[in-house]
Amino acid sequence: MNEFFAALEQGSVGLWVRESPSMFAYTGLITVHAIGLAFAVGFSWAIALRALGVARAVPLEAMESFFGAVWIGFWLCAVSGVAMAIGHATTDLTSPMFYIKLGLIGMGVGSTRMLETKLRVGPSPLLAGAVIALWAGAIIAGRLNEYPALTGIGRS
Amino acid sequence: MIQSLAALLQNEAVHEFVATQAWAWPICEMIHFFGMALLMGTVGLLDLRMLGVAKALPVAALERLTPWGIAGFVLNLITGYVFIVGSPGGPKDSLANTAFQLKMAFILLAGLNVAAFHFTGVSRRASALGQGGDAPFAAKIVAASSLFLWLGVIYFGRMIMYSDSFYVREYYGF
Repeated sequence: MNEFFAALEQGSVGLWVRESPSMFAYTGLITVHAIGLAFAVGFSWAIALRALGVARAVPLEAMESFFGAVWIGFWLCAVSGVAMAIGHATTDLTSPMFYIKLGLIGMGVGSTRMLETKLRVGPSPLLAGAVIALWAGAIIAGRLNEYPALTGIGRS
Repeated sequence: MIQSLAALLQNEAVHEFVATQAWAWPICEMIHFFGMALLMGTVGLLDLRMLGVAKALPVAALERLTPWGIAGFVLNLITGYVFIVGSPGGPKDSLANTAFQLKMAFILLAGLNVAAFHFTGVSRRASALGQGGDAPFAAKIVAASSLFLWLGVIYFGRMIMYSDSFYVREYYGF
């Protein structure tokens, strides 16, 4: 498996991600990842806060249109994230923290999708709270993935 | 200018804390991301509404979410200060960094954009928009500028740590 990760990392995509001076390579990818996060997490949080009772004057069902921006943000993160993971395959794809982050993202996506489908009938506070907590968890795990020495949950 | 500003911002206690507590920096990074999401999530919603998304929402109601965006901005001011002061070389690391300077310039422009929105009376016309109301052209310009400026803040923020790398200097002059 490690040979596969090494081949991935040293392949043309992996090399381009890490070493190309293009603004679309690494520096562009981390920017797109942050902008995608701001949209996906930011808008999900705003909708979830409303579902928890903040700014009750906002008609909740009318917030449905903003989910388009949530999913655009998510896909920006997904595409840039896959590219960066290819560029750092031997470290990211062997790191337990990276998979914890992926698990939290998976549950974040699932809970946000549930929030979207239940928006008209009134989502439970538990669901709205889960959306907020799972995305916060994904951000925390994403950061911790960069500090293996601190957590002891290492990248090889 | 940079030297005197660095001396003004200098804080030995914070610098020492960040240097000795390994968790301080990553925790501030997490909070900085939370703040960014809160700010973009709430201000961005308002911007998108003025640009014509989710017209069923009355603008005044959406503005009730703005305090959460301000809270996010305050979180980022505090954690940003920790990054500036806690950097290994102190505040001059950030202050002399071109990407950081551009980030601050964009934050200042975003602030001026909000000020223009309020002091020209455009915000009053925008707040009066009920369900289905189309925002005045001036409000759309403010909203588009806001999105552009905050995305620029994110871009230059991400570039700060790459300002020193050869190719960034070579290709962008940062």
